[in-house]
Amino acid sequence: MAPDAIDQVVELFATLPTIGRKTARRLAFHLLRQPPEFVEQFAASLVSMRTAVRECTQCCTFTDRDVCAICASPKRDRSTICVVEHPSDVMAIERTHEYRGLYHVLHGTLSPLDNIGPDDVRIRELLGRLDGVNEVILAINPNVEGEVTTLYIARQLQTLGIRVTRIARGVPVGTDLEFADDATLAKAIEGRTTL
Amino acid sequence: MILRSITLENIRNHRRTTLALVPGMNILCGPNGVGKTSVLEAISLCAMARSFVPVADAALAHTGCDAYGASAEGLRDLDVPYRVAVHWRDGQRKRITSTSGDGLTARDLLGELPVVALSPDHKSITFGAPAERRAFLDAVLAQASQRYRDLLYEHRRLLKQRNAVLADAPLSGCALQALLEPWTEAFVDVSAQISVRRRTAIADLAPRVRGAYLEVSGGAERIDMQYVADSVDHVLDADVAAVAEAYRAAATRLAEAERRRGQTLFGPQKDDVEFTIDGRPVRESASQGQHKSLLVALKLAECSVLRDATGERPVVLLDDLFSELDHERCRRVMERVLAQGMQCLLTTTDGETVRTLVPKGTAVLVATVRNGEITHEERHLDAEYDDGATHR
Ligand SMILES: [Zn+2]
Repeated sequence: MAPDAIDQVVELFATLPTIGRKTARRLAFHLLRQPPEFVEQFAASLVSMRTAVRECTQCCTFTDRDVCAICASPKRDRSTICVVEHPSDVMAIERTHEYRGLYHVLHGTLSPLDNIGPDDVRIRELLGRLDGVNEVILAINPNVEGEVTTLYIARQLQTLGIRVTRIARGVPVGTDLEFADDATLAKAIEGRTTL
Repeated sequence: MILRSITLENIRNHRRTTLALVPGMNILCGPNGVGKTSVLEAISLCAMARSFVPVADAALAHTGCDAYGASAEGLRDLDVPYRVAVHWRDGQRKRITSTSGDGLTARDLLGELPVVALSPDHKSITFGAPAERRAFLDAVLAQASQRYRDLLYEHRRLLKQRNAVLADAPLSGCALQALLEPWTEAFVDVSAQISVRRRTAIADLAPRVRGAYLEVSGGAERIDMQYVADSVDHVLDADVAAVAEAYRAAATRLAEAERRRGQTLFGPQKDDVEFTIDGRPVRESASQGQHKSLLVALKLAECSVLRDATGERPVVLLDDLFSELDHERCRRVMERVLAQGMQCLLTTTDGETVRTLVPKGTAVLVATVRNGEITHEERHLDAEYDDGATHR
């Protein structure tokens, strides 16, 4: 019978995405076989990551400063904002070296079923940073909720007279941007269409 | 597709059963409740990741088991080997693997191994509520088209999301409007594509059903089918854009009522299919016998639609056909299925009689089932059983 302390850790691991109960147990036992210093450092890193990392005050991506490196860079084109779902999408688009503008991270999509409305994703923050912006590119994952979020934001921006585009549908439906290959993603940005 | 074998692990009263099949007629016989139908259900699981009758996964699993599995091997019509396995464990997603890949979803799987099942439960298609007829039509289209499977999924999701917006009553009119609009737009778009596809499918099915009905019943009645669409009936012969426009108009017209009721009040989830026999509605005026012939005709028409759409002969599952139809009509059904080269599995309490009705020259398997096991198998690859009764 495993002591309660192990059970508790297994429960916690099992709450993480893609981790099932079986894997959670393996991870817990793996940590038990490591030297105590390793586990201490492991736990401390988690805590310091959570304390240090916050959302960029401009684009809402994760950063350890007030303003992230991209938003702070004088080399970026400040007239274009690319709207994505997750911070990992920023990295995916950066890997293509095709895009020189700024980003905006929503941290999710609209989903009334989960009680996620416009105020729960960073749409208000987006609407508050449009000074000097000519084009907003919507690069939200093309699933049911992503499509509707795209439509919703497009409507909000169109009333403000800003050019709104969306990336081409080269990305296979249901595939997260994160998992699209660089060439496909580059083509999708290049072939974006006006909404 | 011609299946070579089917394997059941902990399905209903089967512990582990593997049955080698013949390309023609596979007869599973034995008294009621011995596990004949489970073999057909296993094939359905391999084809669609669910039984052909509504049943919870836990109820499909052998008593005391929290897992079950079904797997099959066969040969595609282009002579490519095919295999598929579906495993379920309580609290987990079904694990589906086939020749085309691992980690498949039911949506990926559908259509690879087309099946057409006819069970006494399916009577509700001609007798029952509109939902039963929509389910039949959706099942045909879902096996026939990947795009339709996606549309069905999107429609279900959008309907739930849109209802969630509408159910959130405290929103003021203006805020609700802004929030609802993109959901309405997406819902209207998907709904229009579904309605038009269903209407096209009905037009394609109708002559096939009419022909099959004449053949099975031996009668001379004329069967017609009509798609009855909520909100958009007047434009259903137009293109998708016009149908979408009509749904949009319905959304505007019903806006106030939807807000009051807190749910979506238009869309293809309210549609129906109307059958008529010599111009009179089947639900009101058809006899029991006509209902049965019509159901069989629908299933035979489904076979030919799926064959055309997937390029693959479907496997035909006839559950307890002989309890529903007289011998003559059963014989005609089997004759038609086998004449088109489709593999057939049939359950019956009277194997001897069925065997005498199988057309000459058909490969026949007679498997006796007892308490979740195959206790006896006989294979006849020639016309041995073509006795006096079927000579002309
Ligand atoms: Zn930033």
